Amino acid sequence: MRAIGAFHGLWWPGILVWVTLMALLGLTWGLAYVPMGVFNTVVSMGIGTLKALLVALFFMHLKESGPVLRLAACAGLVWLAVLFAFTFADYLSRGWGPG
Amino acid sequence: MSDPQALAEQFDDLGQQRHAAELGMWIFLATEALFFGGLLLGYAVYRHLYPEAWFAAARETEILIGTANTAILLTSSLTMWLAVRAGEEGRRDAVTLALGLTATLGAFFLGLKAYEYYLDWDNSLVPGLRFAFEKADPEHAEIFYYLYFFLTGVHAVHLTVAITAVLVVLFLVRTGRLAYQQSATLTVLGLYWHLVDVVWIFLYPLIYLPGRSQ
Repeated sequence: MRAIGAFHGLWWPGILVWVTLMALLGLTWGLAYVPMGVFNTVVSMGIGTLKALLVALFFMHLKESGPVLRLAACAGLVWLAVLFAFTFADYLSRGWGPG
Repeated sequence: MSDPQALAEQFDDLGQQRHAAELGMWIFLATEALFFGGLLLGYAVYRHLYPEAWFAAARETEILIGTANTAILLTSSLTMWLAVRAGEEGRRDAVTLALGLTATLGAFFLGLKAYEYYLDWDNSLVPGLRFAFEKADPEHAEIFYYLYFFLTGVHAVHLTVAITAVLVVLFLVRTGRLAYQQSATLTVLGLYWHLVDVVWIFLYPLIYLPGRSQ
């Protein structure tokens, strides 16, 4: 295979990350059919987060990046958390109180 | 040593230039997280309000295509990462091959996605145009499909931009017009590509997996 030869010496550790990502994909696909109630969502989103973390740390090089890049990468997620927290503070508390 | 072709005049050295480029891209990616976050918030609120309709609707999505597409995008992230690695070592042939593979995998994804949209049309799952849902709560199942088309559509637009960018850089590297080993171009291109992958990593369990165990 010419393609394999062209990438000689470049595969590590990307290939290991890829194998892990594919295994996690197979796992989350299979577990979706196992009745676990609310834990189906917990498991599928948990595995999704793990996959995203692997991509961010290895493929996007955050593992070797300095603090400034890591802060910028987290900034969007912090504001996203604020957006979700305040919205659900509304929706989850509707219909409380008397009457 | 600094390569004059690679270093723009406003920077002291290549290290500073690379850092500025990567920081700029990460800030852009943060705004992308919030861009998709708005749609995901809508998804979360409606799923919270109408869980039964959500599970019934999500069960009708094409899980085989969705899973295959996830595998394709994860693999394209590996080839994109290989392009960046090869670039650091100045291996032009490996860079162009890896970028070519990346763009091809992206095109495969879009082709499968287009076929999936065709099936959705055939199954009358296109809200506003052709929607006939016989399972539970069709009115709110329609909201799921509105969000499905917006999320996957906007994602497909991002992927189209990414494929175009990969092809442009591939052309520049191949014709020797880009100092790819010194500049941050490949790294920054890779960051954008991986973001498109990360967005899909979250769309997959939100669109295809809910309600499968019922």
